Amino acid sequence: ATELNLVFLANEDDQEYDAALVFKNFVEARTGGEVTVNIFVGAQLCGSANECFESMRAGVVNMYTATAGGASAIYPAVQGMDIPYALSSDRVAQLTLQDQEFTNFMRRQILDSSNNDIMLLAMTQTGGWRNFATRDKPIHTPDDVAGVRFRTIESEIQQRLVRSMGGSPTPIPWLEVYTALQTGVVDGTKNSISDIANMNFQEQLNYITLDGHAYMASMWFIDNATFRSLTPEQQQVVLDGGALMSTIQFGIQPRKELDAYAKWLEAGNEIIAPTEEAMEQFRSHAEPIREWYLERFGDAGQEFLEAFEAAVARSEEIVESDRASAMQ
Amino acid sequence: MDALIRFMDVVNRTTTRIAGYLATGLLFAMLGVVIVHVFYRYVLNDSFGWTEELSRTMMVWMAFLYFPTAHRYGMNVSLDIFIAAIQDHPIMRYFGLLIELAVFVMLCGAIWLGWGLMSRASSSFTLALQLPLGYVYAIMPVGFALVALVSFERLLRLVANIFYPGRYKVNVFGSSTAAGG
Amino acid sequence: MAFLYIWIFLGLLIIGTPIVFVMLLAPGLTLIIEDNTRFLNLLVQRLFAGMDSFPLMALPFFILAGELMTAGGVTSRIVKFAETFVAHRKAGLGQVSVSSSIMLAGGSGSAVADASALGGVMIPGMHQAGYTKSFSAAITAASAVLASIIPPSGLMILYAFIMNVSVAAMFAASIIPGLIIGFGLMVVVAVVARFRSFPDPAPRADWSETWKTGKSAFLPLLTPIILIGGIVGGIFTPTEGAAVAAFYALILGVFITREISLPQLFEVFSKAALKSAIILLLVGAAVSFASLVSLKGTPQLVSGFILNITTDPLMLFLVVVLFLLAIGTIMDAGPAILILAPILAPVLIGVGIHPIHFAVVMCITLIIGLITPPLGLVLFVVSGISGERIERISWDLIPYFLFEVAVVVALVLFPELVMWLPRQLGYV
Ligand code: NA
Ligand code: NA
Repeated sequence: ATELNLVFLANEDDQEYDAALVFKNFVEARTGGEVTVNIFVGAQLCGSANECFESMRAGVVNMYTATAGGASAIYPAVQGMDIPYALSSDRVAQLTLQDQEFTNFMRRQILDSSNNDIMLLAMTQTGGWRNFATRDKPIHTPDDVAGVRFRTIESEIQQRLVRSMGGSPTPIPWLEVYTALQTGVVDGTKNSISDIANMNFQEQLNYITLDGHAYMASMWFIDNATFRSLTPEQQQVVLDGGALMSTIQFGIQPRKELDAYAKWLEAGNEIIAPTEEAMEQFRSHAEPIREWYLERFGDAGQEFLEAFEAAVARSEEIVESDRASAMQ
Repeated sequence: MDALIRFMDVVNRTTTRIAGYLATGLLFAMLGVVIVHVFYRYVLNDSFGWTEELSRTMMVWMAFLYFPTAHRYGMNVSLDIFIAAIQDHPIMRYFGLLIELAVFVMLCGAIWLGWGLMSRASSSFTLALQLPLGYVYAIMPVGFALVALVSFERLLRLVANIFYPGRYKVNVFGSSTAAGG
Repeated sequence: MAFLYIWIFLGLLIIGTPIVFVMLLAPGLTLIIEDNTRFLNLLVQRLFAGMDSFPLMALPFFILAGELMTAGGVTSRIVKFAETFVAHRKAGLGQVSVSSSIMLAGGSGSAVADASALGGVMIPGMHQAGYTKSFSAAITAASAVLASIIPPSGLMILYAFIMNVSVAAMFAASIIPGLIIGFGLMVVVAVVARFRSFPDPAPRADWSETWKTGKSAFLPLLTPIILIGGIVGGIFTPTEGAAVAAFYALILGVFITREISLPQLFEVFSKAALKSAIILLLVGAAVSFASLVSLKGTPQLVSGFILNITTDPLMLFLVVVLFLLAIGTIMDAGPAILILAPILAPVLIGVGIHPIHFAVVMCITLIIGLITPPLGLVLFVVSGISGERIERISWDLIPYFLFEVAVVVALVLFPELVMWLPRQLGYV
């Protein structure tokens, strides 16, 4: 029998937990208990993307899920997924991240850049869209960002976006963000509504602007050695289970957001939907970042963006053709 | 034996001193980085994206670099109230030797594991500075190796003390008055 | 065999193996015996990751700030200032010791460091003025614990780090308990003074003396104000505040009091780096150890065991406090927090105790252990400075110790003493 230690750094309220439970049940049932899954919630076995990937290489952790930012530890060019406003809607995002050609491309890249240690199981999302959320100053247009200190993670793209709009990006460790918002070390944060509600930031924030500058893509990985050690039948089951996890996370997100938005409104906070005109302005800040990205990541970046943007185009086409067939 | 112990003494005195200087320099640097960071953010309303990562890494390096000094001078905290009464009993010489042997073997294992970790991480990068993670982890095999050298010398002294009791100075057990508070 | 690692752990601990090695050897040996060697990688990895944290960096910075203040002559300035207020009372120098501790505590994060800094100034002075060595040592020890209770506190940072709770909330929650213990100690000293004979108090200082000593203590006394003001005012996070406090102490010592020369400055940094390294390695090893603890499902087993004794939250809390007092007699507070918090906290949070409430009570209980024999670091320090035997100091410590235990019981019974301030500040 093979044991798979599955790790995710969120907690039992997060959608990863639902996905993991379904995966465990699916795999254990379909392999007749030959493959068992142990779920480790939070930082019991490893505490950061880098550490978890190293634990996968050591064979201690067998499955792990990371955002694009986390995955950039093994495949730096994947940060291109965080180029602002690259994805236009939930529907396009889901189709893109489940696009087969793009998934194949990503799987190959990640195997290559990790010396065949780590394999991509499936891509999905964790938490929906990153938006601008502020304490004192409502953000209606990019100009409003000027002079505002936004908490960001230590990722260059996130910081460039804020800086490009004239704001001041400030990296703060996740656990210190609440206090930093409360005391005014930062004036705002760029997070999904789910993360905001999970951490009770709505108590300190007043405005959220639904500009959707980044989609929080995430990926499930498995350590390649363990995967190869499975029988072909078991490998199939694990792959199908991975696809199932992806779908579950896409599906649960909108449901979880309902509660998060309810919490937001209960706190007496405002939701700002930018006008189409304002969105044009927001999106105009993406191009320089894209150029910077291409310069920074060279051929690898070029290759990634080609694959990614082709997948986005295919997805948009699917959405269009679906709409057209119904609305003709 | 005497010559070997003297040799190890020189080696360890030199390495712990140099490592200690480096660790002290890192504390200076950490303070500088964080102060400049606060100044930039608050006064100039601007931030660097990499100060947190850099200062964290420096802190871990600082700890590993002072690890050999802490072990050499018996400064690691231990619970010694149970053995305090029999500390001078001859049997404690064997106990001390046994503990040090376990520690030495563990350190050798740790060098090997740390080396493996470093090599595996060589294809990964840190998030902010995009440093090869292998460099960051390099402190593990290096730090463990320096502590192992210290441990080896203590081992020699403890063995020598079994044949010539009291000949060599060595803090068998850790200190009860170092950390905490 | 599920508890094999605990037996190895206890065995190594009792024969005096340094705790940092115990926490690596016990899980290491267990994994080897169980032929589960690939998990050994986990131990080394977690050792590194356990130290690799920005919030944890407050620890070396506060240690540095404390070392810089001691070297910069801050202690004696504050003591002289305190003398002008309370030295004329009965057992006046005892009152000076307590009030200096309260003032010093706002800038220092370590009871052990404060005991040596304050003891170095107060104990010889009190002895000269005719106080017994054991009383001088006892009152210094009893009040030095305030440094670890009143924020900033290295031990609270350790707890916050290992248990993922907010440092700011813990700091806010421990201000009122710290002040209760501080001012309460002054009352206890006054009561003790009624029953025992003490040297004649000094004449009441006039205001010009207060003004003069106050001026020289003014800048050091600003440290807690800068720290708290900076954190609450949104200028910096708690970790950055620690760096600012250290930087401020550096400026004070090198440029204002000018008591730190450049070679001394190097010495101070070196000492702070070494002390920090020892604690950080302990933290890393504890995180390694904790990974095996959770792989083995130990917290569930322990909570089952404890809940067998009682499920009444109040009784449970008091039982745990009693247990921690017992642990505190033989074990240093730092390792005790690192090892026991992950096991005990989930049980009490599970029966409805607020995480911050438990955090503060657990820390204060273990901090009181610093003055209890047989192993009490603060007790050792004052014994070393005064040259008085541990037993005699302990005897003199009894009223202050009992008072501090009574405060802990009060904190358990009246959670608002802990929770009110952080709630007012919006931290919980
Ligand atoms: Na303090
Ligand atoms: Na004690």
